Amino acid sequence: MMELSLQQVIEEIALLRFEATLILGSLILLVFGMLSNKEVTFKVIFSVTLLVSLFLVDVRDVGASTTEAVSIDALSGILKILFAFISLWIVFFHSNMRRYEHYFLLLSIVIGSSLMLSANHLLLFYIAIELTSLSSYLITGFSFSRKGYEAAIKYLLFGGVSSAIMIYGVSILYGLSGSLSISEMVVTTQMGPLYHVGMICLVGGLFFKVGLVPYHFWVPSTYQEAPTDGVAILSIVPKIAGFALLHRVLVNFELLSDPMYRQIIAALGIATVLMGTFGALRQDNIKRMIAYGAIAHSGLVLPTLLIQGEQGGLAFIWYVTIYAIMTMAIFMIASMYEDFGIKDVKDMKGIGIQFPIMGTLTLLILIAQIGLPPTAGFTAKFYLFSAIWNEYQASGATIMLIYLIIGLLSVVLALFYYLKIPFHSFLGTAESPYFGDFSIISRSVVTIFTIMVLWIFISPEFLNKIAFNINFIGW
Amino acid sequence: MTDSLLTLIIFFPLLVTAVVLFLPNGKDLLIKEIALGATGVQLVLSVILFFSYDASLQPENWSNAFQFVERAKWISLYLGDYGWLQIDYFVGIDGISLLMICLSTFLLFVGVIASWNLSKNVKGYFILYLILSTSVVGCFAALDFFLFYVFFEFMLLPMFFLIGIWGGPRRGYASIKFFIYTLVGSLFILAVMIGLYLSVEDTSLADQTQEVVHSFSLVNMMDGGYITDGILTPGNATEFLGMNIRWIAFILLMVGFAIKLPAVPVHTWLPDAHVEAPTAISVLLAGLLLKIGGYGFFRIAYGIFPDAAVSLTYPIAIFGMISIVYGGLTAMAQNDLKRMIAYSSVSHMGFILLGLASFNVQGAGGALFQMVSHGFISGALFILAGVIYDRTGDRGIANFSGLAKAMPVFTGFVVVFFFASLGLPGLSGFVGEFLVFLGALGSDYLPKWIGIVSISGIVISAAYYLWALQRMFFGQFWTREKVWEQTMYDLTARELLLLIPLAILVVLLGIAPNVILGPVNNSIEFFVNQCFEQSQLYLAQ
Repeated sequence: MMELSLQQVIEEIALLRFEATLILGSLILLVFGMLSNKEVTFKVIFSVTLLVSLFLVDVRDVGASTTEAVSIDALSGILKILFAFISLWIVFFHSNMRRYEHYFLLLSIVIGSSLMLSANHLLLFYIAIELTSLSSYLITGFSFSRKGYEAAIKYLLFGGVSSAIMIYGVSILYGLSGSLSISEMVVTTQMGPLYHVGMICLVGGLFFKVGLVPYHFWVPSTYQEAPTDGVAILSIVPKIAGFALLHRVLVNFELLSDPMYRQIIAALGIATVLMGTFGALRQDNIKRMIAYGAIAHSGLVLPTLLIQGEQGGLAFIWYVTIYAIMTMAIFMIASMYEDFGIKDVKDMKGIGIQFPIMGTLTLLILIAQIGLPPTAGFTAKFYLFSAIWNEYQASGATIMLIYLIIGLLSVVLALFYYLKIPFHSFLGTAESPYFGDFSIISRSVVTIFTIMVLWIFISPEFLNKIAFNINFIGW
Repeated sequence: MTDSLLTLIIFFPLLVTAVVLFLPNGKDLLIKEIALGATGVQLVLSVILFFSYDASLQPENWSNAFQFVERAKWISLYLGDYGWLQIDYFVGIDGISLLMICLSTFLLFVGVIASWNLSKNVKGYFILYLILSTSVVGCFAALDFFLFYVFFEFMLLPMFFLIGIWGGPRRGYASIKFFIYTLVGSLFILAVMIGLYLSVEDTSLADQTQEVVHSFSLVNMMDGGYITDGILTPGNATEFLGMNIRWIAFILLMVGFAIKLPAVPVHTWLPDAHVEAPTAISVLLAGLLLKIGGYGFFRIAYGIFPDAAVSLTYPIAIFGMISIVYGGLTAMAQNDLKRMIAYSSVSHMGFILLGLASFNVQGAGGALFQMVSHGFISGALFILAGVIYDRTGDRGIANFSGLAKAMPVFTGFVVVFFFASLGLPGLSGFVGEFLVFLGALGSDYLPKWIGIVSISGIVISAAYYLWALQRMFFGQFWTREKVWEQTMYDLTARELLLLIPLAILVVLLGIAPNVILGPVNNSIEFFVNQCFEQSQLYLAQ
């Protein structure tokens, strides 16, 4: 280990200025939380922190620290912008008396996830994942209900075991290579059965974090019971970070050049899509249905990791960006219906007739989730399917064709379950009229998201700008 | 004005939708008048289109086969290592789409009058109706596959809600079934579309970027602008399930459009949707939405994959024949008047498959004529079924008898349209079917027996129409419920207004089919020749 001067350390902190700002902000939040009990204070600190950090990200910044523990590139820059941008909208969720810890935990999830993007050292990598996970377990219990605690404990137990397995894998890899730095390990690791054990443990742990089959079972109950704004963050930020990390692992350890790993990962991805869609078919609870839909989305993001070259990277960025926007919107909508006391699809009868604008907005966001025009959801799926088809055309791997077919099938099945909501809300008749109205703030935010979803379909050219900014080295 | 005439026809109703959106809820009559005005303008513009279309044009290849072409860049996306993706706003018409557009605007106008008595949530209904108007016409005018697909999908939601909210007792089931069937079909089309655009390039756009530009232009696809190693490039030996991948792609397209058409065995959504849909929506469903399936055969499946089409004429003709006979036999077994008409649609749509499969000018022209004529006839038949339903809330064939005594004018119209539908010479149904049989029997590709068996379809349709006529309209006047007898008044002025123009058109087309065959003659001839030449070219590779 080389000696570092203080000067160097300070300079290298600059690489982590996004995370450092967030940490600072969360500390301020803790202090204010003890002094004040007004929720609006917490919301202001939360959003200011995110806004400041948002402006500190520079996509053109590329570099690594001397110890190579931290490395940042344009991809992580763009994802950090996405995280901060998406998390900002949390403050618009309708809530009464959230504790300051709530916002602190949400910030911690964002911090952990951004660190995951930059981690090039397995220790930092593990710390980042644990920071994210521990905050996630806690936030799941923040609905302060019996079922919420149950979901949180379940999540904690499963998560704890998966972390243990992952760290076991890391320790095997460390024992084999004598190093924890991902880029150094590539050089020193010798292929052997033990290596594969370590690798499978490590990748398995990551699969748990992003909710891929066979580690998806925590997703439905967590999504159903956690506070809705918490789930919104949970289903977007750590998941996308997890995929970026998974990709880094797959590429750096050269797993993708091994056809066996490719086949297995693709097969698990296909299983995830099927599990998510078929699971969602049987759900009546709105959030649980979205949870299964999110599992299916995870399965659809996975193939982009397997596609080498620029197009895979583009399809990834494209899909997760749109996924983030429409998932935020759908959770916003879910929380608005929750304020009406509506948790099940069947409680929605006739609500779309009584509130046609809200009904239409819901419909459009659901159309995006299904992946039909004229919404961004279609563009994302279209781009994804193009990438998969191209990969099939280039490599001739039949599994990619199967992936394409399953992906298309999932669109049809998504129609079955997502359409239940407009089906009941427009075609059903209410037993008695609904009292009250949706809050104007939430309605405006959902309108903004809907316009985004439509606008990206009509004019998706900003993707090109992202594409030219990112240098997809190694994708 | 002709520069942007097509765009105006397509988007005028959508423009009006924006106006309707901001009207207060109570102004039902005003909304109806606005909708009538909007579709009226669309109709007038398409009449102008019809008369300014240059029918004498004899194209050499697809790129100069279209008139009123408008093209503007819409989306350019960077595909990484695979170059660029180019989606255009690209519309234009040849004779085939010209007829379809005129048929659409006419029926859309009729549909507004047919829904004049509507009282439930009028604003929502006409907003959806106007969106539907835009997407139907857009579908027929689009020359960019992506644009076509967007319009195609865009029809589903308005239709889903129009059936689902304003429909009959089992509307929920019918609307979901309709949606799912069509969506499955459209995903087949999506899969082929993705494969196709990755396999073609538009060389006229390539020089700007020095990279491959994958375009969605149907013209480019029909003219065969394939890249050398694309998976759908003719001559590519890739096989899937033991069949060349181009054949697979063609079959997927045919299935996708056959669901829309619908052809047996993927037709079961149609009777349900028809029975539950309100009258005006049934008219549009039968008159227009089914035609999009047929149009898709012409423009996309046959236009782009002529080699697969030539090789697969035999199975296509068989499916056409089965649709004709099976649809007819099922129609005979129905007790509900609307259901009977729905199955007769299945039967008549079989002629389109048969006509196309015969792969000659008579067959293709007959198929096209059949689409137009069936649009008018089935529209009128559903209006007639709606007349009885409006008065009694029932449509059972066995529940009425001797209606001719109570409603002589109504019965007159029923006779005209029943006869038109069963193919009586002198009415429009005859011409289309006759041409299709000429094509099928004179085809180099089909055995004679397919045509001969299909002719029995005419006998079957005569049987169920005449039988229904005899049961419902002749004999002693009687209705199942006594109260219905008072409500059995003859046609109102509004209903006459709907039916008279349709009757005139049906007779006119029957006597002088050249009114529409003239303008499309060159297009059809070109279509058939081009398909034939290109199929030989592709098959040789």
